[in-house]
Amino acid sequence: MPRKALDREMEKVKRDIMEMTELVSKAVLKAIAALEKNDRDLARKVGIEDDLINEYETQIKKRSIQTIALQQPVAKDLRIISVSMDVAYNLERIGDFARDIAMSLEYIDDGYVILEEITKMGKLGAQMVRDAGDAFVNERKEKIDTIMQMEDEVDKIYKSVFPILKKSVEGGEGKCSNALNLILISKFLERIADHSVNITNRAMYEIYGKEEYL
Amino acid sequence: MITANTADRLLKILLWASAFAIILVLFSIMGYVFLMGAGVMNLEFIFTTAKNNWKEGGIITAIEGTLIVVSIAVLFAAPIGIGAAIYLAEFTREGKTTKIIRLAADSLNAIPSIVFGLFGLTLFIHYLKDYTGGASLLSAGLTLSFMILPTIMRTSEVSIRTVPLQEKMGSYALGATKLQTVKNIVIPGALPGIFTGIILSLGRAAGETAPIVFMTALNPITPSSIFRGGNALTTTLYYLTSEGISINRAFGIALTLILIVLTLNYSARFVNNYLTRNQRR
Amino acid sequence: MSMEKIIVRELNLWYGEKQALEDVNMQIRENRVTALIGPSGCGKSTFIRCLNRMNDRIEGVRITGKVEIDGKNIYDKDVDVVALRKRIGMLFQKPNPFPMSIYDNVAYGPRIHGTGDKKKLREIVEDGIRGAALWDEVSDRLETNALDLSGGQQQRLCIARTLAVKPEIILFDEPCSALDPIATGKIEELIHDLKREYTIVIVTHNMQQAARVSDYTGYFLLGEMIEFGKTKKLFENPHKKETEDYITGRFG
Repeated sequence: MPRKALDREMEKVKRDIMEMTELVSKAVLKAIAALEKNDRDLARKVGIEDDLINEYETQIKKRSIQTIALQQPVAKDLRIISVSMDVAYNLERIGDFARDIAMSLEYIDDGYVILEEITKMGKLGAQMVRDAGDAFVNERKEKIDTIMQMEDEVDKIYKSVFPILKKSVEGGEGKCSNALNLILISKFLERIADHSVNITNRAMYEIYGKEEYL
Repeated sequence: MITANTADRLLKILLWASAFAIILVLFSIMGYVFLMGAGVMNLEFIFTTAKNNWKEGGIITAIEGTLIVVSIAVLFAAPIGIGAAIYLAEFTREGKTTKIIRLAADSLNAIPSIVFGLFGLTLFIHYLKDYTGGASLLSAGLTLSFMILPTIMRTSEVSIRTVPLQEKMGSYALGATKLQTVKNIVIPGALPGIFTGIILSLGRAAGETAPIVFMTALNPITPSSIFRGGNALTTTLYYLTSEGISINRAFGIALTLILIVLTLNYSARFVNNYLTRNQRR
Repeated sequence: MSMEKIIVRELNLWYGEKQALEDVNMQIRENRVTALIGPSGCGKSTFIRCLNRMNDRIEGVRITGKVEIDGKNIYDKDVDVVALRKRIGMLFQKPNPFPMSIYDNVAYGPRIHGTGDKKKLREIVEDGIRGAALWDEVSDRLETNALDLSGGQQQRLCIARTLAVKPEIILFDEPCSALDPIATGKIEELIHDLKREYTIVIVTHNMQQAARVSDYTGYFLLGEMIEFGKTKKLFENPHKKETEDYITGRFG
């Protein structure tokens, strides 16, 4: 006795999450690229595309709630559907951070120097988002290890950013406002990594059903 | 070429004709008996004793005799029949014993009624003369009770089996014993069917001639004791006809008998409806 | 933490040559609702009937193993089955009120167990009907025929009838399969209330119902108990693949 309707709904939800992951991951990369090249058009584009990401979240949540109401999934089906709402929420938050990063270009004066640490964090973050989405959609349990590794790395870099900027401001090389903005950006990137970890944990709950991953 | 539709209609007409034939036969007999019997039918005919070898007076002795005989028959057959039915339906599992009992009942049903008469003659009039008073109303009643025993047993059994298993399970689940369940659930539930069976066999017993032809008197006798002889409607009818005493009066008896049996049949239906008023299943 | 009321050990049951239950082990806790689920013919109904020895009446049934209630094996030779059934009430798929008045239905049990006193009987009957959440609906017509009630009311009357015998355990064998959703909801609510005073075992083929009413769930398949555990756990994250397949509706 297959459950075609439920299976169809779950496939659709997973496909949406996959597409959303792709969009969000690209948004992070674009935001960093905009920073690197001081490309304000690209930054604005990131802001506009965030609306699409938000729309994805709304749609996924709507579909999940309807599926719970109409199909009454239990066990793994229930875990997939309920976790997908949480995953969509986390992706949406990451999207917001990508937008915030891109937007902060508005407040940065020309002639700033982007730290390679920040670029690295951005690339790591984008990769983490992709891996986390993959872990959920394709049920890749081994992803938890790689994600945790990257998370450690991001944390390490994040901790190193503050002294570097402090030094540059104290040395009179960098502008104070630019440094503040860069601190904020690195904070956003650190949060992106955290949300990616959240998503991966939900994926582990989906796979194992253990409440510690909730 | 006969189309399927036409064939359908033809068949329908044929079947209707068969059904109608039954009504026709019934009404012919009833109508004829009524026409022939109505002439002698009056209060005197019903309520007085016959005189002059049944040629005058009434048939009250035969009516009383019949009623007494069938009452005796039921009084003996009902407890045994119902008891056997309860045993078969509730207290034993299907097996050799039940098969033998059922076979016995069916065979009993298949025995020609005159054989019962012969048997009754031997048993009650010769061997048990001291207890039955010989050719008495009691002997006639007992003979008839043998005859209606299988009917009462089978109708009671069927009726007991229609008591839903869930009701019995409900009783057992409340901690009732088998006896309590039979007493409180099975018998009350089966009662309408049992009653109907009894009343229908009453009617049948009232209509039998052969089994009691040896036990009833030909001359009018007012029943005074079940150990003495008496008349019955059927045997009197037989006597009046076979001896050519009075065909008209024979039809009068026939009409009386039909009325009694029909009344019994209808009251069976009435009793059944009354008793099942609380059991919608 | 509640105590174990019923402990089933290595229970096997055969219908003639056919084995219907295989090595069933289970602990049923006091004042909890334990649900038994599984596809048709999986043995769940057969199992629940072992708990009040209702299978005794069926021809060709052979049982091995133990069912201990309060530590006493109910299949021991010295057990009085009638007294046992008084302690263990049972509700069936189809409401089966007796064809008598509402009052007499509820009074049936106490009467056969020897309650003669009219005043006492009346109290027991009222308590039973109240306990089954039926009092408000029938208090003014206790003398009317029980078969005039709706299906859901009839089932609650059967519960009242059971409560009047004052059992310790109540077994429900698919009690809502003949009822509409509203009547079903009332029975489920009632089961929830009843567990304060009784230990409840319910067989159901409605998994949502098992999920809603029970604290523990056992999954039966082909006469074996595949999985047993807390209902929350079983419906969120079953251990066995067979259980998962069944409860997610991908069975067979």
